[in-house]
Amino acid sequence: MGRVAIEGVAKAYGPKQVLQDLSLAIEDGECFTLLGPSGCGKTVLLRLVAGFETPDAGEIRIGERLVSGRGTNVPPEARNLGVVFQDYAVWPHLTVRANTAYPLKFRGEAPAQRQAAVQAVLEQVGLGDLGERLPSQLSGGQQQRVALARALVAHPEVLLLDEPLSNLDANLREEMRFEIKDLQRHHGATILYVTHDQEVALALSDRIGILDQGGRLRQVGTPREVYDQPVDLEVFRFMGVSSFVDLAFDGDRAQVAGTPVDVRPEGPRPAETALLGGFRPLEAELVSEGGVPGIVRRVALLGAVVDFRVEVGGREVRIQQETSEVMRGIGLPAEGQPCGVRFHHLRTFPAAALDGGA
Amino acid sequence: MGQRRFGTAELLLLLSILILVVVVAIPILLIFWNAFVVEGKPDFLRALALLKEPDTFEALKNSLVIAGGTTVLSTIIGVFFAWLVSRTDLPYKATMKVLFLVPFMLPSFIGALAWKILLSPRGGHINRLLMDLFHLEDPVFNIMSLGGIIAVETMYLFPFVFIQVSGALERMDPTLEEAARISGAGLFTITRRITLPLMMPSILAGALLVALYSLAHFGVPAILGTERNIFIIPTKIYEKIYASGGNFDAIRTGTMLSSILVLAAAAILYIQSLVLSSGRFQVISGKSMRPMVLKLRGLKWPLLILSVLYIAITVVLPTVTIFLVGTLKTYGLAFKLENMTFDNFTYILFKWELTRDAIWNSFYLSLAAAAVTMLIGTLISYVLVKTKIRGKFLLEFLGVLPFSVPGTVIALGVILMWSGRFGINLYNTAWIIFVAYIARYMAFALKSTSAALEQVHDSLEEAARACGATKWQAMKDVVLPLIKPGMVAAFFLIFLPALRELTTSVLLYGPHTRTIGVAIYTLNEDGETVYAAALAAIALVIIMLGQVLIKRVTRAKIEST
Repeated sequence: MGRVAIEGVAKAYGPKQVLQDLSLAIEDGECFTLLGPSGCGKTVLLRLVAGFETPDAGEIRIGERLVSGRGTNVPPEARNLGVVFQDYAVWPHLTVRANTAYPLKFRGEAPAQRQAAVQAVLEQVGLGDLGERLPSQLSGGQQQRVALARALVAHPEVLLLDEPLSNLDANLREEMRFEIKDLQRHHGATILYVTHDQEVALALSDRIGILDQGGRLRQVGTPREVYDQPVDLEVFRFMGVSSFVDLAFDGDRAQVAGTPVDVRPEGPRPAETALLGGFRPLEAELVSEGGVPGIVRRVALLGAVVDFRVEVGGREVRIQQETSEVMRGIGLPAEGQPCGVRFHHLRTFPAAALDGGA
Repeated sequence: MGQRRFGTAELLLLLSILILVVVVAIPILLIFWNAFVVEGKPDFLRALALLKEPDTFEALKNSLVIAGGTTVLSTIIGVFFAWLVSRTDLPYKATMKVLFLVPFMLPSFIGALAWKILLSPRGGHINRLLMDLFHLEDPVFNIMSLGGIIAVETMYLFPFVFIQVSGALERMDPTLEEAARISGAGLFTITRRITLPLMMPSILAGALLVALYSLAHFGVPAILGTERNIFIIPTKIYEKIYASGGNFDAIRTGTMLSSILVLAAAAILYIQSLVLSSGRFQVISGKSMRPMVLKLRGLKWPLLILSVLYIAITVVLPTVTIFLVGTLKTYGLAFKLENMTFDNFTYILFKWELTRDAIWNSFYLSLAAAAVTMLIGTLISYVLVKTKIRGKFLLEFLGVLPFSVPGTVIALGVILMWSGRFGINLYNTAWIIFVAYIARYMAFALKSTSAALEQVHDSLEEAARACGATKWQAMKDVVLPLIKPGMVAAFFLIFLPALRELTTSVLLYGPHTRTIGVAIYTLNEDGETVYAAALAAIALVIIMLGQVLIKRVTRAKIEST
């Protein structure tokens, strides 16, 4: 079946060690996203699974079969994969139909069956009428669909997608990510999806693995887990816009600038390490009474939300609030005006991580 | 790749290296070896002494004068016409632009032949006409001089500058000039301070190409200079090899001169790569923009007439001369209808073995060389562009060699290599010309096919692998169809120049292996001017047909994509 198991894989290009002792298992039928900044080695890992590259150490299994490692190296064509590339890699000299039909050439099905399979998958990606077109006559989004259709047509056990949406504009990207999700449900293939776009990863995945700049796997979990319960500050920052305030403790009670706040996880703190409270722009609000005292530094009305930059306890933080709520409540504050900030919830991180990472 | 120590990639790399070593590297090494090694010991003093001999020294001097003069003159003419067709409101600009490229397609030694017929001091038609008209004692022009050689070479080489500069002028961002204009600069100041400096890399690149070609060029100085004892390096090499009859000192002088040519060519190419990578090109973007156009006003028509006259004199006049002389019953008769006949052409095409053989030889040699060189070039380019493999740097180094080896040097190199020294003697056979053509035109094939391969992104091939295709299937289904236009281009880029080639085959031909170029050249030397012209006319027709064919093929390609 389509389980992908990666055990202790390492890969270096010349003196540059890209991946080191990396282990990961992607369950059968799962949509797994590898998320990381550019240059973190996520594409290398995908290429190792695809068989375009050979690992220096470690093993890769697809299903029960060992495909890389222990002296074995199954070539890409024998791994029963579908791959969608960042630049689509649709062959410009072949029609949409011929592009899509190509994988079936190697499966020994009857021509009539092939024709039907191609038409079916073209219908699924919404290109049913465009089979005779050449790729140069298609838009970027349509070419991406051809690449998807080609990857799906032979019903591979594993589908590898390398930033397939990054060349599309924002609207199309949104549309396509739902379609990919639908197609996956329909075909039931195991998906390994590689991207640096956390929005796509959150929307699409069953589980997400976060790689850091050094090619180490920081956290693996469901979208909710990695977004809401990041294991460390780096993961937290990588998953979206984030702000931090300095925390002080009066016993078990956390304070920001002398005002008590709620933090997670709760419980006693070691006194000797300085801690930070981290939050997303929508996890705090400006209040007319009470709250942690701050000064509004900048106000930008973005439409549905208002974007504030507020100075709290010596750090500038970003807060977003629904426009209607602001209007009903405190009204639009002037820049330089004092205000109160209420935090919905703050995650605690060691302060050293921020200074080291910044 | 993979964990195998020695796979297909390694095999292809070795094969590529082997081909380049045998075809290009060893012949060049042999030239240097023969030039600088005497009885197994390096001997530079003797080499220097040879250079100091008056006739070799004279040839070196003439080469410098001709290459220098041709480069300067071509640059002036090329830049002027390029500016005229891309930055002024000259009428019929587009047509003129095409016309200025026509000299490129014509073999310059045929032009030289025409100019000799028109302007040789005693017998030249124009000289005789002028002497009769004005009752002069002495001829007005002497094309058979250093100045004459420079003038004729310029006619055929200035398009190198023209193409580079007009392309760059069209692609230059007009806002750069507009910004200067807004700052209050006049058009003259803008041209001098903004446009010209920006064009400098293109002008230099074109000028260096002219210098490279002129330095290595055989045909024009051979036809216009040799009779008057004006030699340049390539014609001196030819004279040494032919006069020698195998004399070793003569061959050594030839190899010495060849070494100089190789080093000069390498130096020119090196300077060119520096110029091109200087980064000043960045202000020129890839897309076309509407450039600032100078209104010529009253000069509009005079400048058009000047341009048309230039084309008429440099292209139409020599071509017509060749065709007319080719029809004469005997050379020297007046151009009257009763003196003309088509029999010369039928005689040359069907009856005379020498010319018939020459046409056939040129045809099959060019065809075979084009096909084989294109295939080998594709293989080497594939290894260079697409594989990641240790030891590739060696191939990269060897791949540069063909670009810097002039035709005369190739010829001498293959003589040294294939005359029995290594147990194979191809001398006086068509094979030696074939081998020389492969070496000479390898650069064209490498350039064209590697450009095509660079456009085929790796992911296209990998996508095929992921679909289930083996390496060879991916190659056949994806890579080859996509680089086919590049391969076709490479084929024609070799076939057409090889068809009219003279420089290399003139050193290699045997009694039965004359090429068209050689036949025209030897007929001219033997005083058979009419037959030389008639054969040249046939060659021109073949070349024009070939050009039309290329246009057809490439246009069909463009329309189908």
